[in-house]
Amino acid sequence: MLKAIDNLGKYTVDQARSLTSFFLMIYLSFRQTILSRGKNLKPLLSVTISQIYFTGCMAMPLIGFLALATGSIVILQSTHQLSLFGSSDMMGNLLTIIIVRELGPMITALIVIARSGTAVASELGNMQVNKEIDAMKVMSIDPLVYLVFPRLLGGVISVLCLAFYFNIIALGGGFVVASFLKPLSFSFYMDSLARALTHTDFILSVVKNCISGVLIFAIASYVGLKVKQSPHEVPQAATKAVVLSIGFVTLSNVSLTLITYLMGAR
Amino acid sequence: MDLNKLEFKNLYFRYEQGETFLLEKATLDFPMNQVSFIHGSTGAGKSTLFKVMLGIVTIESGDYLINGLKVQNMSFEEFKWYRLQMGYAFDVGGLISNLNLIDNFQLPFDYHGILDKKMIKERIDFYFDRFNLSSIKHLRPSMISSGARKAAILAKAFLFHPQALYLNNPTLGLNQEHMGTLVSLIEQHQKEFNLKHIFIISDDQELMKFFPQHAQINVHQGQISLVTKPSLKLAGNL
Repeated sequence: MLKAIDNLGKYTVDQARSLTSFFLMIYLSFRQTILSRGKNLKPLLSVTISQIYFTGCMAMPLIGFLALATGSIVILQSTHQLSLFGSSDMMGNLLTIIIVRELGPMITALIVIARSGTAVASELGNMQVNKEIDAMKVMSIDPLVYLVFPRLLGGVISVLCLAFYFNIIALGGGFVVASFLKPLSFSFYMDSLARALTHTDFILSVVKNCISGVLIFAIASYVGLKVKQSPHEVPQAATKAVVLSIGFVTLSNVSLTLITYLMGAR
Repeated sequence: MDLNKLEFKNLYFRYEQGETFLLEKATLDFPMNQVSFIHGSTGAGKSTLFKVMLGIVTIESGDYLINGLKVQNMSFEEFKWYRLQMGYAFDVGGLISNLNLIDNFQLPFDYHGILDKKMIKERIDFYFDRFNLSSIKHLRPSMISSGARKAAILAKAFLFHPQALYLNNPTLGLNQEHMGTLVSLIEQHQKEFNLKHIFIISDDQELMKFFPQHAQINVHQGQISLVTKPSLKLAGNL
């Protein structure tokens, strides 16, 4: 019994320590970058642009395909079901809630975790094994500034843009695809969407995507930098990054939705 | 500002809690203004000693003093000046794999905003020429031979014209021609620039012959000790 309590205590302390160093990593990456006063802008910009290219641009075909499929299914199903109850004018509200508020941020985050979260964790893990991180420290290049900050910034920008792209394709492309199977009035559809979209949807979507972006890339960076000396730790780090990111992103999305509803916003 | 004194006082270091100490109650006033060879059996902690001296890892207790100032109390930024006075050549690795050689060399200059473009290019080209790396400077580290990679690692240690040079097994995988280049570069930097303190982890007798008056530091069971201390201040003896 006492041993179990000891183990629980040790586990709690270890988790608290990990959580503290995780938030410290995020804080220090911002702090050190601000303190450098833009002297290292050129290399940082180059890493950030690469991150946006690999995370954002390269994910567009997959996100586009998923958005089109999701949008078509949701639009088709909702028009059919709502027409049964004579509530077709509620379509805009339903689409806004399902696509803009919930599915957009969640599906975008899952794709980014699968593509870029694993890539960042294994890249940083390999750099650790190959002594590249040590090589940077020797040259007084702060890994938190050169490696972590651009990934956080590039990651957040990419997730925001991809989620916006998802919404456009899902709502626009989905309508086009659904129209082939079930004729819909474009003006009615647009009018319904325009009436339904509020600033709450916009704010909630932006907040959700920003938090997801920070969580995905901070977790991937943290787990990657925790790799010590052995190459076999690298795939383990990638797996850990995926599991942790999915858990935390889901938790944050659910929490934000609950908070919005508890605050009384539609 | 000069780098005048490096000192360990009752220093303890280990990589993880619960592991054995690699440096335990280590105390040494490091020999300055000369070449020091560091010896010790495999796993004795020679590379770890360099990591501590370069501030790559954080010590557990005791003091590491540079010019009398405690390194463990310095932030990354505060230690920056001292670190830029130290050139380090890794035994293996140490080049960034997704950058080609020229970008690897240019990165620290861009990051710190030191020197203008023309001077950076001249300096980088100088070291590429000395080690015959000019023809492969646009290739990534994984695309070049291990000998060329080793030469690049060594060349990089000289980039900032350091006051202290730390070479970890510099002759491992290095051909005769590059070894000659290395020794002549050390001599040139001692004469023309500000290179004063040289620490080399190596048991290579051939390399030691170039520095007959070297000091010897021994690392054994967590302790570091000065085995011999030369009476002469020296330059490389080619």
